[in-house]
Amino acid sequence: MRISTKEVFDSGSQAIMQGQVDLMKTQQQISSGRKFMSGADDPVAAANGLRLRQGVEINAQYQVNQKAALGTLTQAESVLGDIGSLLLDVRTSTLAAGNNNLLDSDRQNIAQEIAGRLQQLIGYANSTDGAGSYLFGGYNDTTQPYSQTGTSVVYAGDQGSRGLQVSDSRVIDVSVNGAGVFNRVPTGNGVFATSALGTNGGTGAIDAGQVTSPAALLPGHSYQVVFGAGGTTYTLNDTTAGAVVSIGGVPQTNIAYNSATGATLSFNGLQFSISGAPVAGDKFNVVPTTVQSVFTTLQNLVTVLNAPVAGAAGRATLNSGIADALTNIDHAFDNALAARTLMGVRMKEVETLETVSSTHDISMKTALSNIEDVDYADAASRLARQQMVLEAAQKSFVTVSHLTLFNFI
Amino acid sequence: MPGLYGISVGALNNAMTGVYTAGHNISNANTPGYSRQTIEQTTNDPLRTGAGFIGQGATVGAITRLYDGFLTQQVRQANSQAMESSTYLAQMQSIDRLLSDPNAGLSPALTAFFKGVQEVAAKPADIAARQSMLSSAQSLEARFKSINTQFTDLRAAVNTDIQASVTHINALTRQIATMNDQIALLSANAAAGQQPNDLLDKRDTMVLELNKEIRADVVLGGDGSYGLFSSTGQPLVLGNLAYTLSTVPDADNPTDTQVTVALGSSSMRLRAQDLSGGKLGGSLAFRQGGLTDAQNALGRLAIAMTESVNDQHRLGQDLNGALGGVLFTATNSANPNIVYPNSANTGAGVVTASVTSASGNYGLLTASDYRLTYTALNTYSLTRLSDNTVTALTTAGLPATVDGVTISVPTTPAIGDQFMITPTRYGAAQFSVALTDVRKIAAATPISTAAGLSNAGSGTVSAGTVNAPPPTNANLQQPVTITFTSATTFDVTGVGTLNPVGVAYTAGANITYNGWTIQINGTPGVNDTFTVGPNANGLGDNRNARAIGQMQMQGLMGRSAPGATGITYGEAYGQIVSQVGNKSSQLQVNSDSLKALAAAAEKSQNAVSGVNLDEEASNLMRYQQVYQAAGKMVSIAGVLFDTILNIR
Repeated sequence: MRISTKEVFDSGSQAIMQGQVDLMKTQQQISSGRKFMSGADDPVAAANGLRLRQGVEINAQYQVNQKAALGTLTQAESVLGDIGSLLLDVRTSTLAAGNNNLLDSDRQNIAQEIAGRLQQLIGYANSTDGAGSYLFGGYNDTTQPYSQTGTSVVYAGDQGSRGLQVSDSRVIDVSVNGAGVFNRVPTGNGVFATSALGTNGGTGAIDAGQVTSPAALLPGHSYQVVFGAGGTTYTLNDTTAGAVVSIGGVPQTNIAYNSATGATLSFNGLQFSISGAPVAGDKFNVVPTTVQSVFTTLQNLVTVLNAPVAGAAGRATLNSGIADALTNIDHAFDNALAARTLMGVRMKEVETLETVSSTHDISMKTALSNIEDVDYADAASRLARQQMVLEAAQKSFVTVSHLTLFNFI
Repeated sequence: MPGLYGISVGALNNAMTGVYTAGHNISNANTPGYSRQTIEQTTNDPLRTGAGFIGQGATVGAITRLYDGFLTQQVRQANSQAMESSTYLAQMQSIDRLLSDPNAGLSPALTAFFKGVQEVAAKPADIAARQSMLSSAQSLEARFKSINTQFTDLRAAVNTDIQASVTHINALTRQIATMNDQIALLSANAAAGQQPNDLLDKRDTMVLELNKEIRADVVLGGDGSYGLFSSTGQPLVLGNLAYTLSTVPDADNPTDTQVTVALGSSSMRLRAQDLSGGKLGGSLAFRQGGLTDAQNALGRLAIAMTESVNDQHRLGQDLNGALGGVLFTATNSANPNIVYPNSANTGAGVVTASVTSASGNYGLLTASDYRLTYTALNTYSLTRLSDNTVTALTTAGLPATVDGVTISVPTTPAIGDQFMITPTRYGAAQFSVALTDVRKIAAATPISTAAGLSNAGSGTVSAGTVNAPPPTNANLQQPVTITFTSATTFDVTGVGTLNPVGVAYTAGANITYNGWTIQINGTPGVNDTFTVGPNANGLGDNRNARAIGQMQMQGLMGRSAPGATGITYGEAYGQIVSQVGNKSSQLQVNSDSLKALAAAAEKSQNAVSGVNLDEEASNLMRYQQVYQAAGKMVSIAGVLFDTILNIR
């Protein structure tokens, strides 16, 4: 093998240059902390790095959203809790108002207290979150949702519920709209509601009744019990159908009524009892459940309690008003409790997601670091090795290049 | 006696030639392309005498260069290929660094945009959050444009490089042609075995130089001249004739430069494959492969984002309560430059191509360019250049939509005319944010649903969605009431619904009127009502912002058919990065190995042809000693002659 002098110099300088390139690359890795400088160094890792980086960013946004969701949910949950205790207080006062020993003025005092509670409830329903958005306004979170005009409380919000994206696939509703919590409170026993007509002259009362056979119910049908002369007979009409109801083939016209034992009517899958002593023309209605806002319930209660009680009929009106109010307050309480439970469940879910997100964050950042970050121990030892190689190349080049015959002639 | 003088003087001359040659070698030790020379010394014919054959010394018959044609050819080829891949690599690396940089690439801007969207979703009425989203959209625009500007600059630089290469090639081929002439002339007049070594070396050096610009294969002519041909046999030099290359705007796309060769008075366009190897080959390959592919893919991403985000945004409602407009300037509104008629077209045909958001066409786009050829009466063929898939089109079938590009031909061309269609090339350049007023970001959905406040049943109504694609139904926001007439039927009243009665109710089924869709669940009671109407004052509504935010995760691009699973924006960008990265890394490997190959070939060549100074030193000493000995011979011959003269 012949070696040309040019070759000696070329290969020597090339080895030195290569050594410098390698050294520079390692030095760059160490100074930047990154394993690769461009996609070409590791295309798969570069693409994965982009994907992970995006994942980390998205996850960070979810974490922000989770915090915001948790904040709003906590606030709503706490307000709903307050509403629950307020309703319990009102219930206690209402029960107290049923005491037969109370005077009109006592009841009026209670009415005043309940009127105050109503204002407080409106205040709760108009609660805002930390940023000033109304909690129960639906999408319309910048307008005060409830306002009182005269004796009626009007809802100005809508029925949307604001959601926040808290994970790739989960949107958490952070608000409940007021319509569902405060406005749509069912009356009666949830299927039908019984009531004594306000103009009744007797002491007859009707209980809340119950469903005996859901399959036999005629949806949407209303019934009316009308008492005949002396309050000793009654007729049961199906006002929707415009006909007298038949029980066991017997049309319920002028059925005998004993005020000492009362009567239990059971037909079309439902059952209710009438007690007391109605007078002729007294009427009791059984209508499908409707909804009534909790504000109306309290307002009605205030009206009932404010009215002076005169005689047995007045007492019957009062009792039936208080009974109605208690049923409705219970339903309102159930509504608030259900909403509060929902908030609680969502908070629990968001808290779980927070854990998931932070675990996810760590795992993605670890993966990203594995892909992108330089292994310093490896890089440092590589640097030392490359330095040694370069020095050896330089030294040997000097030695070899000095070897020439011309030194001797 | 005279013979002795002759032998001595011959030896002196031979030694002198040897010293000259060694000196020539030493002085050219570092001349690129130089092949070391040696003297070819042969014994003279002997003199026949009675005493037998008396030797008559030696003569230098020729000075030859130590040269291996095969190795030289290897060096040329390896260098040509190494130069091609290193040129391609150098340009590819600039794209690669640009795209894969975790801070300067598109990826962070893309993520920031969706982060901005999420911020609006978290606080839909917050002007600061909206401003942040708008700013991030604007910085996305800036990033798209700046990357595209780099691409455009690179394209311009490639055109300049091609121009420079062509100039250099022309200079080299002219010189080689001239040298062919000289060498042929000198060789013809030289004695057998004698060659103009240094001229041959010089010519080989030039051919090597030429190979670094473009691959040129050598065919040795009978007169010693070189014929040079490109990889596909296109002659560059024949004898003393050099074929002049020049540059013109590309026939397919006038923004690119194309190389032509002069043939007499006319010129012929050369295809990229005619010009492989060397810097020119590298530049052309980069433009065709890396640059165009990356620019198209980026443009595709820009177009898909524009159209898909706009589609969703237009389904929303802004802070002023108006329906959402476009967030980004629609692609089609300013895209005149995507069809280029071929410069050789004879007809006056006009072809237009456009990408619209209709039927999710943006999702079908590929990163390829297309060539439309009017092949016969009423027949077109459309070739997708990335894989040469041909789609046949007929006049009756136009306008036709292929791969999401709608092609129409307003003016029929002449048969044989061609059109280059580059649907995505300018996508990134035209990406721009149309919206300027932050209040016009459509974060809400224009409808809201409600269950009647006195509903007794357990029926619930979903929040409702606006049917894609935009434009939205004219009656979208008309108040519509759904009233249940029984547990299983409902009536609908409202402008645009045609007030149907007795519609069957299925829990959870889609109910669609006036361009919206809702679902009712549960058991609604008789006379229960549900309303769908305008989302008045829905300032806290973030449904549309959330929907836009969700698009980050949806595979909206690279679909095989509308609605099919595709890839996300981030994945589409990741694909560009990994394609460019893979190409660069492959080129890096190629370039390294080709450089090593070239170095190995040069090493082998140097082993044969390179000068070794120690060897030359020993040669000098050798010839010096011969010279001294021959000088001694002359003096001995003189002494001998004197001896004769002194005999008296």
